[in-house]
Amino acid sequence: MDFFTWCMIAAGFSMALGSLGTGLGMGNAIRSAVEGVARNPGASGKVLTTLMIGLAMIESLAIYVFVVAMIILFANPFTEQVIALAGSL
Amino acid sequence: MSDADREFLARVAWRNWIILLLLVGLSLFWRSTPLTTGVLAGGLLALAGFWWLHRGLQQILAQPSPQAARAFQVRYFLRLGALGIILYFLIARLGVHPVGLALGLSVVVINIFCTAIARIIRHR
Repeated sequence: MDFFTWCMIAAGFSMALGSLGTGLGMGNAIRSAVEGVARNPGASGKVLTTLMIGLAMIESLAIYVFVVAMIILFANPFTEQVIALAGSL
Repeated sequence: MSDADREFLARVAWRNWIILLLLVGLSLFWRSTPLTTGVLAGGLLALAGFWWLHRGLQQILAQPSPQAARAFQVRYFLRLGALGIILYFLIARLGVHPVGLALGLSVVVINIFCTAIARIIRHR
């Protein structure tokens, strides 16, 4: 398979794995927060603060993965070298 | 939400801006427009995402109803979609520096990391 096909596969897999892990992490965090608020509604303020900060941290992982996938697809630093190599063959 | 929580979140939001300004200032040393644009755009995106998340969670915890939950879900996917489209345009069309963009997007993470370390040291 050629370079660009591998790039597509790498971007797809990185997004799939990144969003899977992030989704599991966010789901766990929200489940725990909801359980905490259900047990002690008075603590919703503290739970909201911690949840927001936790979600921002977890979500940033998915954003990093998306940025890396975009770099692989649209701003790949090796594209020109590969094209030059292919042209010289 | 207690006053202490509100004050903590306000301090976090304020520190986000300071870290963004520091990173933009630091990026100016490289004298590269794509790098500075990347840091600035990434930082503004991260701050907008953080603010949007804060508003959504505040609304859903203030009035926990099925309608509020649905509205939160819709807004959540809209936010992610908008973030994805903007990042695509920044990387693929405008050609901003990817490292600068990643650095800018880390503003909130750097802030929370520093806050956590400061709290650990203070409570020791």
